[in-house]
Amino acid sequence: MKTIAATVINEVVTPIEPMPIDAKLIVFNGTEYVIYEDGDELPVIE
Amino acid sequence: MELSNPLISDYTWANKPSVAPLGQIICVTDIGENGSLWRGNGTKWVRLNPIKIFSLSAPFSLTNSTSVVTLATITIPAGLLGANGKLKIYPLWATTNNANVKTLRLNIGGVVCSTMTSQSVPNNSGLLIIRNINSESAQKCSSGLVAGIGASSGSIASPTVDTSAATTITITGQLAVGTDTLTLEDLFVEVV
Repeated sequence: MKTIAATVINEVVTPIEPMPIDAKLIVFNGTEYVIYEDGDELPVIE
Repeated sequence: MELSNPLISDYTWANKPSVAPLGQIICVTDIGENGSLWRGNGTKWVRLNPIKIFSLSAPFSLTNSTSVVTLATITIPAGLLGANGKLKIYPLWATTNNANVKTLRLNIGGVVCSTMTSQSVPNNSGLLIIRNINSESAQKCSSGLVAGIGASSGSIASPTVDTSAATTITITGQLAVGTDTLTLEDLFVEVV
């Protein structure tokens, strides 16, 4: 699991770098982008 | 027997021939899932089939925020659409099943083109279409639709984004109530 910081451009929250293409799940948690990768336990999305 | 077709040559979108002889077919290797076939009409290269140019690599969830958040960014290569090309964008998105509004927006070149909202359902499967209308710099798309197609009381959006240059499509999500969740489960984009 890794995180990518967010920035605000023209009032839109945007990652500061491109998202990886091999992620299993990406979550924006209100602060940053959390990248779940192979082997990570995935959170329950409700 | 060895498969061989010397009549179809491989090019990239950037280095394809500037002349497009009538009837000549080429393969553009970097456009489409495994390349795409284009046929010259004497003036330009014309795609022979619809082409899938983007597929979301992983589900994307948004929660704990009421901000507008970028969920996906897609680059359309310069000139790929042509003067009458259409972009078909197919989102599948799940939401917390309550009455709070969840919003998915489609931006082209930084301009909001379509807005889809969801309330009191667990998921939506939509179709958003951006249409170049006789110009690479004049688009039309419907707006204000819950699912992207059907009747709408909203006016037709008319962006003027120059698609003869590389163009960015952005999908954003927004929650009216931050404790809800919006998950973009899948998204793919087709050029027709």
